[in-house]
Amino acid sequence: MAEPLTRNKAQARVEEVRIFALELARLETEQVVSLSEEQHRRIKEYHQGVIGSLSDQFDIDRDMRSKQLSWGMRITSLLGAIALAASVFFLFYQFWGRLDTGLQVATLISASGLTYWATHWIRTKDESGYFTKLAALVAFTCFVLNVQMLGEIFNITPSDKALLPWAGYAILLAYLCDLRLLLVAGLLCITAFIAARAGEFHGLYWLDFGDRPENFFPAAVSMFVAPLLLEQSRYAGFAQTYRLMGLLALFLPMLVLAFWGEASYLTFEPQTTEHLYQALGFLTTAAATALGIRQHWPDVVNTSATFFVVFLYTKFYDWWWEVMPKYLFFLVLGLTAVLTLFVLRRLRGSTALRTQVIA
Amino acid sequence: MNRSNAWLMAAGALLIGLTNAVVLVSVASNRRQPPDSVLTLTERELAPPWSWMWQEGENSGVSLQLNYRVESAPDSTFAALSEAGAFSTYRNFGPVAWLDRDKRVAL
Repeated sequence: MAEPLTRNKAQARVEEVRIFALELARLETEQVVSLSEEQHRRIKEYHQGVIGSLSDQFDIDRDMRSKQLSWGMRITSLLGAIALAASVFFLFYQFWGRLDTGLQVATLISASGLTYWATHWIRTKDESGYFTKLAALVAFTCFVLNVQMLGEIFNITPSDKALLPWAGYAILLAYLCDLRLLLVAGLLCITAFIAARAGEFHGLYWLDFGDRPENFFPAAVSMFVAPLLLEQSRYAGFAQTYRLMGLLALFLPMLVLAFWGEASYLTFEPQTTEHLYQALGFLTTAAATALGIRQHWPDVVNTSATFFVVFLYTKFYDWWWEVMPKYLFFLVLGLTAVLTLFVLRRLRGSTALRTQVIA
Repeated sequence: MNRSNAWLMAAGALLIGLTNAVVLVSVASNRRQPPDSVLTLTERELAPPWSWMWQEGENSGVSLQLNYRVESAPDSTFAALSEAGAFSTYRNFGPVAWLDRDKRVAL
């Protein structure tokens, strides 16, 4: 069965057409090929038909100028969404003390329900998705406020269980409206919930889950393998988001533990634990880079390579900051960067060669 | 609208309804008469909390914080200060003496 056409796939098709037209013009200038007027006309008509049909279905950028404007609109809608969400938050706090308890509860529940309904209504009208993003983030904020304020009004003991409905709602809105921003919000809630539960399992109060960075490892593994188990091809960038969040939840705690052995669950001497996590940091970032290259996951390659360099630089700082003159220290850092570039260039060359051989 | 989107929409509405229902039913159950125990507090124990977040008039709600002091467990961070008399062994932060690791695990 053919994969369903998404906005991103339609945009990629338009890019292919644009690049083809540029390359054809170049080939004709260099006199490699020469097409007749009739052939030119047929190709142009075909491409106009393709782009027209895709434009009817999706809000796509037909040329470079509209692509640049799209980036501006994307940034504006993100900033607008954050500002609107903050506005709703402060609006409620400004007036909630003047309402009686029943009205407070009714306002909170109806705000969640109405913004949820409004998000669906806007989604059906808005082909571009920019206004849907604004509405979805406001709906999520209203739901977070709903649960949080009910807790405050009725003096409920803070609990990690609140993270579950927040995560569920954010992920649901993310899939419904095709929004990576809310997927990130949902994954952050899930990460906090799993880490809190892991901490509680070891006798920690749930809000202290950050005291033991190893609490984040189960969430990291779950997020990294999720797109392997659940098909994500219909949602542009979702699989990458899962992998990126998984890697961040793995490498950041590892980096902390590499310099703060006391925070570990391991019962070794703190220094031994730190050495262990330093070694693990290098091994896992290198292994993840290799996996990313093998699976053609540029997001994994870039994140892992960045963390590999961070592990390396922090180690250099540990070893040499005190003993070396500063100019020499930064020279070593610079030379390491140059060496890394050589290695990556060589790696890129060999990958390109292998691709050619396969082709 | 395709079928999976309709399911997602219904799931979202259900999530909002169910979450609020669970919270409100728990609140109602918690406030059922008669109470398990009654604790009378005065202005000494209940005071408005200090807040860095809100400026005058931005938060119309009124909240109170429970002021308490309890015997604290030995803590390396405050050991030197406690010995010097800068800190009492009764505090409202840090580890609590009677709530040790074994009790927390049992809880």
